[in-house]
Amino acid sequence: MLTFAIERFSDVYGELLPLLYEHYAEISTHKDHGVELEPQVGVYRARETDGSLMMVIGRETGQIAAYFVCFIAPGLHYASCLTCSPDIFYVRPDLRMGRTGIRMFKFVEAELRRRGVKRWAVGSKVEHDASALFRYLDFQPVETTYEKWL
Amino acid sequence: MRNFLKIAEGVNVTPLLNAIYRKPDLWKADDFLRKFPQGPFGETDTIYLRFQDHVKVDTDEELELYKQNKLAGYDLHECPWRPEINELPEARALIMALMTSTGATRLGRCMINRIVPGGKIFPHADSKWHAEYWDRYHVVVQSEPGNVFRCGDEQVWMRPGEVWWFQNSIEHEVLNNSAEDRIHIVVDLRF
Repeated sequence: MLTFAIERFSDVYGELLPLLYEHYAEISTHKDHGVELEPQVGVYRARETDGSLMMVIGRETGQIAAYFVCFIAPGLHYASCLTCSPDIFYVRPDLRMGRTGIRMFKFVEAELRRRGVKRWAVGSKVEHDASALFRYLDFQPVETTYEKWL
Repeated sequence: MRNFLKIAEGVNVTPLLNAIYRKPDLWKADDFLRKFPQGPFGETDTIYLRFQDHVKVDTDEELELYKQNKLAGYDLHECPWRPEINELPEARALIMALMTSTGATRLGRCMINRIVPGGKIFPHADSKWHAEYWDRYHVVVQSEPGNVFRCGDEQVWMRPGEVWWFQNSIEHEVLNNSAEDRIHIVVDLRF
């Protein structure tokens, strides 16, 4: 049984950290450039306090098996448009072939609708393509992100 | 949220939890809810602290009168203390503190419910006659991450030491997707 819930950063961070390292090792381009994982815990705590951080945690028998982290705030250019901006999401490898990702994103969507979010942005990495999931969930591709390491 | 309201947190529930652990036989004293035909509580253990007496009726007409609270000599909502409360004075203190702090005028059912890891309370809405008369409160004694309490289209994880009101007249369910027992005191209050 996998269930999803909104949890607080301050409650879950210690439990989440080992998974963040696994996640970093799997997908980050930073590791290829010698940049260590070093979450700015104080900033996350501040955003938890001001209500702009949302964390959805998927658990199986109490253990974290998936998570979705995002920031919710009015758009900087669009004060009337409550916007959900992506941070990170993760599903345990053995759960990726089923509907876990779909269930998690549908849970997130229900919560975002409840909070009155108008625009929800997500990101798909070239090396870890989640486009099929996003298209299934009726997202539209609108932008490609490039990076250059200096 | 419309269906859940947290009214307190930081309540010291550890003395009660310790008492419950010291007296495990209390869980098996009465299994009325668990064996309720086709009921939603098949995976729930309960310690009844305060509950209606079993009323024996002879006819369907008497049963209907009882459900309408019109059966002479009986008050459908009256819930006497059960002997178990004498084993758990820690629970009585928490319940009476809840009554005092909320300003309730009548105390109804009081139960301690336990759902094992992986267990559920299946989707149901409480009986109309009951939910319209009483308000339902939960005092969280033990609950680990992975517990989901859904009511309508909302859900929460109620943390230990928190006290919540919730709207029990609409469909609700509980999933204990943690690795530890979920233990709540359930209290009905009338205002």
